[in-house]
Amino acid sequence: MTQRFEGRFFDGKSANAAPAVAVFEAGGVFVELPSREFSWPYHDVTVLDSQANECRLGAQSEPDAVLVLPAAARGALAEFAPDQHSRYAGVRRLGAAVAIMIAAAGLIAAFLFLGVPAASGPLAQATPKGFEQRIGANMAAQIQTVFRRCASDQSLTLLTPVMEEMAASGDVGFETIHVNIVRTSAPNAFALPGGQVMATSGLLDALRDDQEAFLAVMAHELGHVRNRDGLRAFYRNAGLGILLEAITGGSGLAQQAVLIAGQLTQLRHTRAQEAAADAAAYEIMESAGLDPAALARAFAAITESVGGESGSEEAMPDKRRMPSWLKTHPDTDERIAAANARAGATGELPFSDADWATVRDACRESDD
Amino acid sequence: MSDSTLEATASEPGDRISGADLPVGNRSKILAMLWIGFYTTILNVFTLTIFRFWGRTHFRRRLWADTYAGQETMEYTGRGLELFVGFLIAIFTLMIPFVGAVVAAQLLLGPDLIFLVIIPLYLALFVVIGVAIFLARRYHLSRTRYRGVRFAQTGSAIGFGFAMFGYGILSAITLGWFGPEARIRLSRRMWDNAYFGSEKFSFTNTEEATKEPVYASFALAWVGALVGYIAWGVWMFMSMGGEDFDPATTQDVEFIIRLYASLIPLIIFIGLAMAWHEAVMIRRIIKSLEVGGVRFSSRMSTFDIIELTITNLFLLVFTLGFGFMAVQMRVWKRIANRISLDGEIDFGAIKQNEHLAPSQGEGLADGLDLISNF
Repeated sequence: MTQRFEGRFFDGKSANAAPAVAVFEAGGVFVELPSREFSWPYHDVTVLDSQANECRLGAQSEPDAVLVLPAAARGALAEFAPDQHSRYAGVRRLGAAVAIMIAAAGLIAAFLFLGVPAASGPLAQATPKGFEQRIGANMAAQIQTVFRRCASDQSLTLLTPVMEEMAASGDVGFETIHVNIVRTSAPNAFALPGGQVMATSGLLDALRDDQEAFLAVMAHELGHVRNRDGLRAFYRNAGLGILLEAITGGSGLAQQAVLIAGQLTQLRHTRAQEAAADAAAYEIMESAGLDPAALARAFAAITESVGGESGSEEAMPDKRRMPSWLKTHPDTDERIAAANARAGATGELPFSDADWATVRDACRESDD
Repeated sequence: MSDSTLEATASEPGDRISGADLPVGNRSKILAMLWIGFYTTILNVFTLTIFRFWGRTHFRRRLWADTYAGQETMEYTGRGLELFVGFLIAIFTLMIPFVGAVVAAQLLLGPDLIFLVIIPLYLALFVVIGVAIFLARRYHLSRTRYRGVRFAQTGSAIGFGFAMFGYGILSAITLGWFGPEARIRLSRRMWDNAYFGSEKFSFTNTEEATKEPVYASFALAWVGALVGYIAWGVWMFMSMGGEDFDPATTQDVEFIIRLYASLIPLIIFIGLAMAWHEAVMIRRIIKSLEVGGVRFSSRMSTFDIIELTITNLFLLVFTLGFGFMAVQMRVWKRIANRISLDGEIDFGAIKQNEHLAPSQGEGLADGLDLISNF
C-alpha cells in the first residue's frame, strides 16, 4: 500500500518551483520531478510546517529543499513512520526540553537561594579590609544622598572616639569607625561594610533617656562590623542581582539590586547573624565596662516607641516602622531574656549628662 | 494507492511572475497567537523564563508560515536553542563585564569620580544597541526562507551601531527633527545590504516614496506631543495643589496612581498625534524597496495605525499581558496585508547565495531582548 500526492518542489538551489509527485511507501518518500527522481528515507524527513490546506516537508540531508504537498500527506507520513513522525512526536520532544529547562531552573534557584548566601561568608572573610572600607565609604555616601545626615560635627566628635574605643576593646577588627546619624523617624541602626555605622534620629529619640541602651545598640552594630555582615549582605545582594539579571535578560535589575544593596531595607541579616551580633555586643559592652542587659532595655524601648509592648500579644507594634533587625525576627522577647541573663555591673558611663544631651539632640539642634 | 493533488500548480522553470499575481499578506489567527503567548507565559514561570527563547521561536515560525507572497509562504528556520546560546554568549561577553564595571566604579571611585567611567560606558552602550539591532536583523534574515531560498543581511554591524549613535545625537540636538531622516537612512543601510538569495534588495528614493509627506506629518506629531506634554504638566501642577506641592513629602500610593492615570490620556493624545506620521513612515520605507525587478508598495493608512493602537491596547489589558504575541502579530499582519508588488520577477534566475550561509551565535542581540519587534 502506497499513497501518492502531487505538489511542488523547491530544490534550495534556486527559487524556482518544480511540479513534484511524492509517493509514500515503506522505507521513505519517493519523489518524481520532471528532471530527476530521488527518495528521502523517513528518518531523514523533517516536517517544516503543517497547515489546514498543505504541509511542507524537508530533509536533514538537503537542508534548503522544500517539498510542498496537500495536508493529507502529513497523515501519510505519520502512518508510514509512526515512531519518528507521529503527531505527538513534536509535543514529546518539546515536553522533554521543557523538563530539562525546569530542572535547570531548579538548579539556578538552588544556587541563588542556597549557594550564593553560603558563599558570601567565606568571600567576606577573604576580602581585604581596605577594599571593604572603600565599599563601605561609597555606600555611606550613596545612602546620604537619600537620607539626610543630621548630626552636628560636635555630636560626632563626641560619639566617634567612644565608638572607636568600644571597637578596640571589643576586638572589632577596624580601628576607624565612621559613625553617622541620619534623619528618619523610624528607630533604626545599621552597619555598612568597613566600619560604617549609622543610627537614625528616631533611635536617638527612642533611647534619649538611656545612653547605655543606645551604646548597646551601637555595640550590636559593631558586632555586625566584626562579623563583616554588611559585606556579606552586599555580596549576597550583588550575586542575587547579577543572576537575576542573567535570567531576566539584562533589564537592569542587577544594577538596581546592587544599589539597593546599600540601603537599609536590604541589609537584613539571618537569625544566626543577629544572634552572633548580640553575642558580640555582650562582649563589647563588658569589655567597655557597660552592662550587656542594656541591650534588653533598648529592644523594649524601641518596640514600645513604634507602638508595641514587649511580652504582649495584644498591642502589636507598627511593623513598618520597626527596624529590620527586630521585624524579621519574631523572638524579640527571647533576645530580651538572653540579654537580661547576661546582666552585669555598669561602670562609668562614657558621656557626661551634658555630652549625652549634645549627642542625643544631634538632629534637633540642626533643626534650628 | 491513494492520490491527492494540490489545487494550484507551480510555476514552470524559468517562469516570470508578475507582481500583480503575487498578492502579499498574512493569515495568522489571533487565537493561535494567544495560545502561544499563553503557554509561553506559563512555562516562563516554571522555567525561570528560560522557555522564552523557544516561545519566541514558536511565535516566529507561526507568523512566518502564515505570511505569503503569491502561493508560497515564508519559512522561519531559527531554533530556540540558538537564541539561548546567543543569550549565554551575550551575558558573559557583554552584560556581566558591563555591570561589573559599573558596580566597581560605584564602589571604588565614589560619587565624585564615577561619571568618568559611567558616561563612556553608557555612550558605548548606545553603540552596542545599534550593533545588536543589526545582528538581530542579520539573524532573522538568515533564518528566513521563501521558495527554498534564504534571505541575508550583509554590511557592517559596527558601522550601523556608530551611525545609529551619531543620528541619535543629531536627533537630540535638533529636538527630534532629524529623527525621520535618521530612520530613513538607517532603513537604507539595512535594506541596501539585504539579499533574497542572489538578488540584492535596493532602497531607492522613488517618486512614489519621496511624495510621502514625511516632515508635514512629523510637524503635526511634534507639535501635538509638545502641546500634550505642556497640557499634562499644567494639569498635574494644578491638580497637585499648585505651588504648595512638595513631591518629597507626597510619595504616597494615591499620588503614584494619579500620576499613572494622568499618563493614559497623554499617551492616547500623543498616539493620535503621531498616527499619521507613523503611517507615512511605513509607506515611505516600503515604497523605497525593490528586489529582483519587483517594487514594493504600501497602502498603510492613518486609520490603520489608530485602530491597531487602540484595539491592541485593549487586547493587551484584557489578556493580562499574555496577548503580547497576538499584538505583534496584528501589527505585522496589517503591514503585510497592505503591501502590494509591482513589476515582474523571474524566480528561476534567483539562486541560493552560498556565500551568505547563516552563521551561528547571532541570536546574541536577540537573546538580550534588545529587539522589541518580534
